[in-house]
Amino acid sequence: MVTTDEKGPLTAKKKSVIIRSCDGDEFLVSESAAVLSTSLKKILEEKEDRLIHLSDIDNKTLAMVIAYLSTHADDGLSDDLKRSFDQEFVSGKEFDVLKYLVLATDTLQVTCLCYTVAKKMADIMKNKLVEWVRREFDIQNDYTPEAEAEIRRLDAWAWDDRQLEDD
Amino acid sequence: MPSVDRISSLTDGVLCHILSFLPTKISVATSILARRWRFLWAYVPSLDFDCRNHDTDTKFAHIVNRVLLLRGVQSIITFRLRYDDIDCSEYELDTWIATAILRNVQKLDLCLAYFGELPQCLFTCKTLVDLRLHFRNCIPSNGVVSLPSLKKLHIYGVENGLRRMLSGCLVLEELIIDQIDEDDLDFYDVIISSPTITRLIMISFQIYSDESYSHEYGVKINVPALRYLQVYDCSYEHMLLSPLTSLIEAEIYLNTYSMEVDYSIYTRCMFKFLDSLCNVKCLKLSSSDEVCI
Repeated sequence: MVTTDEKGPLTAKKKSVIIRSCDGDEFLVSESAAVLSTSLKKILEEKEDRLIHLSDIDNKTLAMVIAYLSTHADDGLSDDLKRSFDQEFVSGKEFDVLKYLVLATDTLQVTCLCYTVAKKMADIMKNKLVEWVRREFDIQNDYTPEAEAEIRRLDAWAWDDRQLEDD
Repeated sequence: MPSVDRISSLTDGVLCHILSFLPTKISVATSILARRWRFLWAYVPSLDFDCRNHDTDTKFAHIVNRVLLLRGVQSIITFRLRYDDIDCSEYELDTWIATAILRNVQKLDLCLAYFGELPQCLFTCKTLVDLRLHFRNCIPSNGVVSLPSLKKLHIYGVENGLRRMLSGCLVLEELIIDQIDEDDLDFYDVIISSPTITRLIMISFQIYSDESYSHEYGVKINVPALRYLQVYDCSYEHMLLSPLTSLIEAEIYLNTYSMEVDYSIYTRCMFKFLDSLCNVKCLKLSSSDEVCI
């Protein structure tokens, strides 16, 4: 049973919400952290319910996003500390993990994190081969060999230093 | 993890966002991935051209023209152009820059070997937030300057036009001035004045002169709202700072002692310069040689 003062004005500053991932895990998050996501903020403005179910974000990705939101909602941390947290946040993460993160941050509209993750993905993509990018993005090459050759002929300048070149 | 299908549902918007961090050349190269990617690059909101990355038979100018003509969206958020070729056509440069301005560019970064005059529309652009001009004589000698959205300005060298330029930037927050030397400035008439600048970075602000220690100051700096100051390798003896009551952090690199000048005068000037930072909360001093403080 929820005690009455939990929703009362006296404890307004410490309001929390529960966010549930698509695989059923629940996370208790302070409202000040949750509203850093534009999407969550809108949901909270529209409904009384303190439980938000996200049908397309898995628990691992959600845990990472919430760690980010909680850090950025912490008034006790300096901007410098938050910046270094951001840098470490994406460093060393697998491309696959970043894909889920960029999708989640796009859905949740966490602009700063979406920017950081997208930038990191672009950095990883540099100097990678075409087949690598196709594999990591799960892209089926639906060009005919003739069509592909035609593109290579037209924009030959785009591949002249072997960036995003074939194996 | 959820099914792989969800990833292939990355929207074009997200993919373009990722591509926006890549040089335009790589962005165009993704057209080979699959049919969906054929012209995705044309919807990327930023353009980044660097002539050093092009060594094919296709002329660099033709590439820039092709990319600009094939754009699928009107707006250009970022336009970065590095064109070192001294034979580059002023007409083409003018066209590209004007195109970016007309497409409501927010961030413009130009590194050019030679350029006559930048198009006047650049200096009255309402959408520019971040402007970097990596070449000499970038500020025209006359004409109106009105950059109502500009928050960050990075220039190489400074001319008489700087004062006029700053007076047209009413919300400027950060100013970076790089590699200034005596040849480029009217010695007694450099004034950096702005009520809004909170970050000022000056690099290689060198003024070589065997006179004037007891004369006027070479550079007058009046930025009362400043919170962060970085001065690297500059002639402190020629600088006059107005009180910086809001200053929180300063990084000063001391290495400008020149044998041509009287050491005692030099140190006095240095003290005077440091004195003007008296309210600073965090001061970092560093030096390459034996400057006695």
